[in-house]
Amino acid sequence: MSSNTKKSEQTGLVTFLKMVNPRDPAWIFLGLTLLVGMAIVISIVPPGFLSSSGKLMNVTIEHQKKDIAHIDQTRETFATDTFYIDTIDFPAGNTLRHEKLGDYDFSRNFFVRIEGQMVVNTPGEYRMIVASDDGFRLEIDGQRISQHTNDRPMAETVTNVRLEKGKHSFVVSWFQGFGQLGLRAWYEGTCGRKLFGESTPCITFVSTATKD
Amino acid sequence: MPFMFTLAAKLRAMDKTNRFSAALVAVFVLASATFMINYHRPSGMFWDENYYLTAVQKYTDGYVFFESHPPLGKLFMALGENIFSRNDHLDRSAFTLTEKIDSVPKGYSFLGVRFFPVLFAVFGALVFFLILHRLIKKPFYAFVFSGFYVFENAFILHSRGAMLDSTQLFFIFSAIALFIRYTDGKAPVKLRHYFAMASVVGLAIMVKVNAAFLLLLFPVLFLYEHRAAIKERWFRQRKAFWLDLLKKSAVSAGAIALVTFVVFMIHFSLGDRIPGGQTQKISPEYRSIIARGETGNLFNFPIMFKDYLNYMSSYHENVPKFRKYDEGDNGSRPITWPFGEKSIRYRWNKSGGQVQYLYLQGNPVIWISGLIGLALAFALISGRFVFKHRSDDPEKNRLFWYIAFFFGLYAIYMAMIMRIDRVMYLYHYFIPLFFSLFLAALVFAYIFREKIEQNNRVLITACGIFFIEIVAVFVFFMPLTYYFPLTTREFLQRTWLDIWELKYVQ
Repeated sequence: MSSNTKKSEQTGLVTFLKMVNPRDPAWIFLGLTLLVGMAIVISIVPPGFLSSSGKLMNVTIEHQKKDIAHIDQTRETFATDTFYIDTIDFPAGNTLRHEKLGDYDFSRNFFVRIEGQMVVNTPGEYRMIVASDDGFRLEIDGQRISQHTNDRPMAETVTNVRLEKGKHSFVVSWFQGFGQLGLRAWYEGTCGRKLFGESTPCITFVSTATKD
Repeated sequence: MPFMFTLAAKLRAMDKTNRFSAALVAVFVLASATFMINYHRPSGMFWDENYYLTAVQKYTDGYVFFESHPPLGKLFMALGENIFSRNDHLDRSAFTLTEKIDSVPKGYSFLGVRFFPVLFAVFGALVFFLILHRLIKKPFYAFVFSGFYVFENAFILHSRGAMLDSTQLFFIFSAIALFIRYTDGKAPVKLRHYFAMASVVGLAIMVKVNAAFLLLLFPVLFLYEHRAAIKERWFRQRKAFWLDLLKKSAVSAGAIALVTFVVFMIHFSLGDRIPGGQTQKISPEYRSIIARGETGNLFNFPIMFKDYLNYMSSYHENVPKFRKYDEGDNGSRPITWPFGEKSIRYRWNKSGGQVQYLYLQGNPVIWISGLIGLALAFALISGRFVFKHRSDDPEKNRLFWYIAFFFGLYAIYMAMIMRIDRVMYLYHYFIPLFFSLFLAALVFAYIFREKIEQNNRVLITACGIFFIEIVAVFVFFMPLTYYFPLTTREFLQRTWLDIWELKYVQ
């Protein structure tokens, strides 16, 4: 039955491909409209919308009226954006861009708060590595793990932490003043070095929408 | 997609008249939806409404005033305001003391003042469709390309305000529709046809003077009508030719003069007193006409008309020039309009983390189609005149001449605009934009002439997809057209090109 279906599908595809005449202007026009359609879909679909795993961490961006130079600076927010990401992976550059989910275009004076949850399957010592430009703060279960409060060029901060078995919530706060920016965070344990958001047998990241 | 297939299938099953009617009704319904729904919102002014609302009030209260444009567009606004009478309970006396207001009283309704611009925008869609149908002769394709008008975000936004452009475009399209009817038919063009076309051209000019480029329709129509005489028997029929030219010129000029006279007389007769704090220059002669209560007297027309023209002339001389490097200037250069430079933020409102925008931002699929239409039309015309490449197909030749016609209109309008010294704005491009879109549709019909005749399914499918793309991009940019709230990120997602200069609110 299934082989028959496959065969008829193949026959349908072959028939369709036989119909296609690349020299026929109507087919060329159809091809162009399909290409334009693809370009439109790429342009109008929000980053991460098509990614099934794109909702692991909740991101809130607060845009500031004044220049920022410190993570605890008094905030004067004029606009807020929220969206989801699957990994903490904003490479160094002039504007905010997620490695997998694309451009967000923001370039200066904003605070970012990334909230997520992880389940530790293998308890033990982990190295938390955060590369940021400018400052950041990492908290797990409300406890401050590491931070760099002032502005800086892209640089790594490494901290060791012991994680017990079970579910933990984490928050990565980060700010961008002016100039270049970037934020990437990894954890490193017996399962190797992985980005926050990349699950391993040691740690599994779960959606922030998941109830306890 | 299934909708398009169903539509195409149903259209095929219908007879020719029903197909046409169904497509016309569909255009009307869609245009009513995109232009009319909640057109009274936002309940605050945007762009030039702060000028036009004062004009409307002056008509209502019977004050004498002049405006930078001829009166017809504002007369329609005043008519709408008086039909709906939603603001009678509000004190609007401040409107009459100035040419421009900063705010409206709380509870002010825009239902009346915006009614006719919106209504003309919907009627404009019908004329747009009728022109396309006349030229392409297929309801399905005329319907698909009517999407250029019905889903054009910038034009929809502008037409949903108490502005002049949709009213003017309706008359411009109507004049062009008549021109096409006369040149495309076999019946001889008579004096009454010139009279009808001149009346409509006159109405377009009475909304905004830049419609004067339509005067070129008359010599073109006349030359078309006498093409055989010009080609073959120019000398033998010389007297009849000049006599006919004289008669038709006189009738056309007479019709335009009559329309001008009637429209301005309505304007003058509605004003019989001078508002307090009047700063507009009114001549002593006009003042004595007002004092005698004779503003409705036809014989006083020349004095009142002269004052109005003097005001228009001095107003346009005093409009600032375009300042290229001033970021706060909303003006832009005509040469960059086809690429969408630059969008204008008409109005915004911040609530919470989101901002509502009214942004004069076009539908990029439509604007790019216009550009492609222009480029292909240029290539086609060059091929014909430079490389002497011509088709043996009479239908293609017919389409070619209409392509040349719209290309000529586009080039003349743009040349005219580029000579203007004052600052100009993106919405001044609406007229040539629609010419470029007619070109896109006509070039398409030219290229696919045989396929269209054969009801080629591949072409129908491609056009269905294209229509969906137009609608999808319209929906994507809809928040900027209808004042829907956006986060900064959502706003930035819509800044596809830097040349548009879309800027979010901090």
